[in-house]
Amino acid sequence: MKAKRLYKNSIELLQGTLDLLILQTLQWGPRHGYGISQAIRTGSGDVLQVDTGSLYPALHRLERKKWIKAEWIVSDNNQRVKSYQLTAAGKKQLLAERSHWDKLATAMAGILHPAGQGGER
Amino acid sequence: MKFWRSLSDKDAELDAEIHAHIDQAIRERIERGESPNDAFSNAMREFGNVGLVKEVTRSMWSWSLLERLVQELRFGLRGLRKSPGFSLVTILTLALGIGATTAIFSVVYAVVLRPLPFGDPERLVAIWLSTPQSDRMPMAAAIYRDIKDQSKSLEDIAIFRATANYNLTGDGEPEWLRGSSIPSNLFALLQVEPLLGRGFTPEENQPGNDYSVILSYALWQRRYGADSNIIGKAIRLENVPYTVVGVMGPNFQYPTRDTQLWTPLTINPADFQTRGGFMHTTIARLKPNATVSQVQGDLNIIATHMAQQYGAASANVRLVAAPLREDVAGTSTKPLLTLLAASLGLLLIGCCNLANLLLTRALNKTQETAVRSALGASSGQLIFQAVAEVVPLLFAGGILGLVVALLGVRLLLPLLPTTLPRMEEIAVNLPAMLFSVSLLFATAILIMIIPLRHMRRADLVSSLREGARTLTAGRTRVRNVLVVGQVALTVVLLTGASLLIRTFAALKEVDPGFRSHNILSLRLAIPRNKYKQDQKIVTLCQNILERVRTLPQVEVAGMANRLPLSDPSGVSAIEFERSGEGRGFLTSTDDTTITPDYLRAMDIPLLHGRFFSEADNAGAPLVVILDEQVAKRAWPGENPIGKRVRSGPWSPWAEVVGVVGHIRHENLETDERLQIYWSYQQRARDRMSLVVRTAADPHALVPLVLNTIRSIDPDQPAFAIKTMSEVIDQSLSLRWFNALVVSLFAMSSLLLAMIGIYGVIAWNVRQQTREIGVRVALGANRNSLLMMVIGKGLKMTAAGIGLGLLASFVLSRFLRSLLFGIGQTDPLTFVVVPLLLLLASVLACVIPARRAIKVDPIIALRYE
Repeated sequence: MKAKRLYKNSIELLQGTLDLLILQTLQWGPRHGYGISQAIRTGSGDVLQVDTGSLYPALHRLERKKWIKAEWIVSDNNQRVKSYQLTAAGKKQLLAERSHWDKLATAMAGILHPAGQGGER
Repeated sequence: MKFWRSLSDKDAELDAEIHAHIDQAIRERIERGESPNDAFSNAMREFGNVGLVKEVTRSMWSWSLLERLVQELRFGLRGLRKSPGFSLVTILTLALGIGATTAIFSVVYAVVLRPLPFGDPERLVAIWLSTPQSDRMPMAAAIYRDIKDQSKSLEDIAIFRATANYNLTGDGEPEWLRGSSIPSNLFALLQVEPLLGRGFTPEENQPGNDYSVILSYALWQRRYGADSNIIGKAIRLENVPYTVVGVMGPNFQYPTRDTQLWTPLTINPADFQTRGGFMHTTIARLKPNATVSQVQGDLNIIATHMAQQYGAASANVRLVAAPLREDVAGTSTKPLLTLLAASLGLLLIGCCNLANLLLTRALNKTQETAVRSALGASSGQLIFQAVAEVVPLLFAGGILGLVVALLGVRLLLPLLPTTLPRMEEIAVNLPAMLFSVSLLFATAILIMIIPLRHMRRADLVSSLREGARTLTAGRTRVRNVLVVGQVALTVVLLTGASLLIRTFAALKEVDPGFRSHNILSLRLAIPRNKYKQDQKIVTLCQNILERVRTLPQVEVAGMANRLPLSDPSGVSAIEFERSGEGRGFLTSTDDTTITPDYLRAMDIPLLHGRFFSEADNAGAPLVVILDEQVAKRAWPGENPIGKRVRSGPWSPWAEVVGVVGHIRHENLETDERLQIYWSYQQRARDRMSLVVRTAADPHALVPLVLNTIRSIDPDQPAFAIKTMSEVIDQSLSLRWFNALVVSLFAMSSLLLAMIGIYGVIAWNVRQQTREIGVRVALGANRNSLLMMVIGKGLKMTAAGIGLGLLASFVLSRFLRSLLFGIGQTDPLTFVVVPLLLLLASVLACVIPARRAIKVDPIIALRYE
C-alpha cells in the first residue's frame, strides 16, 4: 500500500484525474499504453508526465471496470501491442467525469480568481 | 487448472505489454537521434522500476489476493523445506494435540456426556434407596407405590428387574441370555417404540399371563436371522414357551448393553404388603418443568412418611434421585473425566509448544521481516506473509491430527474395559476435533500476527542495526514463560500418571484372599423348570464335579453361586448368639452357597474347624462357615466354632463349623464385605459357577469341561468362561486403561516440554554466541560455560517444576478417590517426577550447550 501511495503522490494530479485523461485520450481512437502516455504528455505541452507506475494500474483498473477494453494488435512497427479502446460504458463515464471536472474547474477558478481581481489577468 | 493458466497468462501479458512500452520508447528515442545505448538506458529510467510497476498493476487484478496467497504459500513451503526439523516438530505437536484430545474426548462423550437414546432424556431420573449399610439398594414394590402415589413432580415412574436371565434352548446351541423384566409403561416412559410388534400390555404384567418376550435387535439378527415373521412365534426360555411380541431397534440397550431380551415384570402382590422384595431398579420421568432437586424434595418427604409409618426399620432409609445419564455412565464417569482433564492438559501443552516453536521461527526471521518492512512491505503484507507461512503447517498438522484421532479411537476401543456402558456409540467426535483444531490454529495465527502488529519503525531500525537483539528481549521473556508453563503442566500430568500407575501396581500386589493362578471359572445357570427340587440340582452339581475331577490336569473342582470380583454383593445380614450379652447383628454380608471343595479350589485358607463335606446335607444339622472378619467382630477373642448364627428372624440357626480367610469380594481396594458360606446341599442355588484348579494352563481344559457338561445335559448352557486371573485383570481394566493413557499423555508432554526447553536454550546460545566467544577468548573454562548454559535451562525447569508441584498438590485431591495404597502426596511420585524433569531438561540443554563450548572465538566475534 505504501509503495502504491508513493506513486500516486508523485503525479500531481487530483484523484481520478488520470482516469479522466485516459478516457479522454481514448476518445480519438484505440491506443496502447505508451501511446496514451505520449498523447497526454504532448497534449498538455509536456506539463503532465504520466508515470508508468500510475498508468498501468489505472489502465488495468479501468479495464476491470469495463470502461475500456483491450486487445492485442500488431502495430505499424510490426510489433504486438496491447491496444485499449473505449467501451460504451466508458463513453458514458467520460461524459459524466468531464462535466464533473468542468464544475470542479469552474468552482476552483471562482475561488482562486474572485470576480474583483479578474481584471488583472 | 483454468485459474492457474489464466493467472500465468495474465502475468505473461503484462510482461509483454511492458516490453512493448519500453521497445517503443527506445525506438522513438533512436528515431529522435539518440544512440541505441542512451535510448535504452533513458527509456528504462523513464519507465522506472519494472518490478514495482508490475506489482502495483497486478494488485489491480481482482484475484490478486488469491494469487498473492499462492505465492506466499509457495514461499512458505520453500522455507519449511529448509527447516525440516521445525516443520516436523510443529506438525507432530499439532497432530498429537488434535488427535489425542479428540480420541479421548470421543470416548468420554459417548460414555458419559452424550444424551441417552431416549425421548427427552434430560427429564429421566434414576431413583434408589440409600441405607447406612449400603449406598445403593434396589427398590421394593411397596416403596415404589408410595413414590408413585405421593410424588408431585413425576410424570411417570417404572420399576423393573434389571437382571432376569434366561436359558434359551431349542433351535441351536443352548444359550444363557441376559434379560430384564419390565413393566408395560417402561417404553412409554423412555419414549421408545419397538422396531417390530408391540411393547407389553398391563395384562401381561399379571402373574401367570407373562409368557411373552421382546427380543433385542442383536439377538433377533444373530439367532433368528432377522426373521421379519418372528412376531407371534414361540421361543423356549427355561424350557417354557414364550411368545415373541416385539423386537427392539439397534439403539435400545437398556438397562445394559448386553441385555438380549425383555420379559414382562410381575410383582408378587404380597410384596406390596410385606415391604420386602428389594430387587427393583427404578426410573422416572419428570414433569415438563420439574427439576431433579424438586424430585429429591418429594422423596425426602416420602422417606420421612415412611419412617413415621413403619418405624425404626425404615428410619435410616433415604431415597435418592439422580439424572439417568449419570446413572448409566455410573462409576466410569470419574476415571474418564480424569482422562479428559489429562487430554486437555496435553492440548494446552501442545498450544504452548506451538507458540514457542512459532516464536522461535519469528525471532529467527526478525531481520528478514525488518528488511521486508524497510523495503516497503505494509504491515498487512507482513501479516499475510506470516500467516501464509504457517498455513501449510497447520494444514498438514490438522490432517495428521485427524488420522491420529481416527487411529486413536480404533486403538482405544480394544483397550477399553468391556464393561464400559454405551461403547458401541463411540466414534470420532467432530465438535471435539473442531475445538482442538481451532484452539491450536488460533494460537498459531495469533502468535504469528501479534508480534508484527507491535512492530514499529523504530524497532525496525534498531533490529536492522543490531541484529535481532533489542526486539527480542520481550519475546524471549514470553518464551521463557511458555516453557515454564509447559514444564508445570507436564509435572501435573506426570504426577497424575505416576499416582495412577502406583495405584495400579499397588492393586496388583493386593492379596485378594484367594488364588487366581491356574483357576478356570465358568457359569452354569441351572434351569429350575427342569431341576425343580433342590435335590436334583445337587445331583447335577455332583455329576458334573465328579466327571470334571477325572479330567487331566484337574487338581480340585468346586462350585459356588457367587464368585469374587465378578458377582454383585448380596444385601443380607446375620444375627449371631453371644455368650451372656444376647444377640448381635452384622450387616453387609454376602451369602455364598458352595460345594465342599470350592474353598480348597480357590485356596481360601481354613483357619479353624473344618470345611463342608458331602455329609452336610439336607438331613444333617444346618452348618455355616464364616470368614475371619465375621468371627472377629461377632466373638472377639473367643473360639467361634460351635457358635450359632442365622440369616434373619425367620431362618433356622446354623452352627459354625469353620472359619476361613477373608477375601476381597466386591473390589480389590477396600473390601470389608463379610463372607458367609453355606453348604450347597442345605441351601441349594441354581446359578452356580464351576471353579476348577488345574496343574497347567487352564485354557487348554475349556473344551474338555464343556464336553463333560454337555454329555451330562446337552441343554445346559455354560458361559462366561474365564480364568480367575482374567477376572482380576478385568476388575482392574478401567484403572489399567486410565494409567496407560495418562502415562502416554505424560510421556508426550514430557517430550514436548523437552522440545520447548531445547528451543529456548538453543536460541539463547545463538544469541550469546558473541558473549561466549569473548569468554572463550578470555580463557573461560569450557566446563563452566557448559554449566552456564545448562544452568539457564535448569532455572526455567526449576521454576516450572515448582509451579507444577504446587498445582499437582492441589489437583491430586481430585484424584484421591481413584487412588489406592498410596497417599495423594505419594513421596516417591513427588520425588521422582521432578528428578525426571530435571534430567529431561539437562538432556534438552546438552546439544545447545555442546554447541556453545565449541564456539570458535574468532567466528563468534564476527558473528552477526
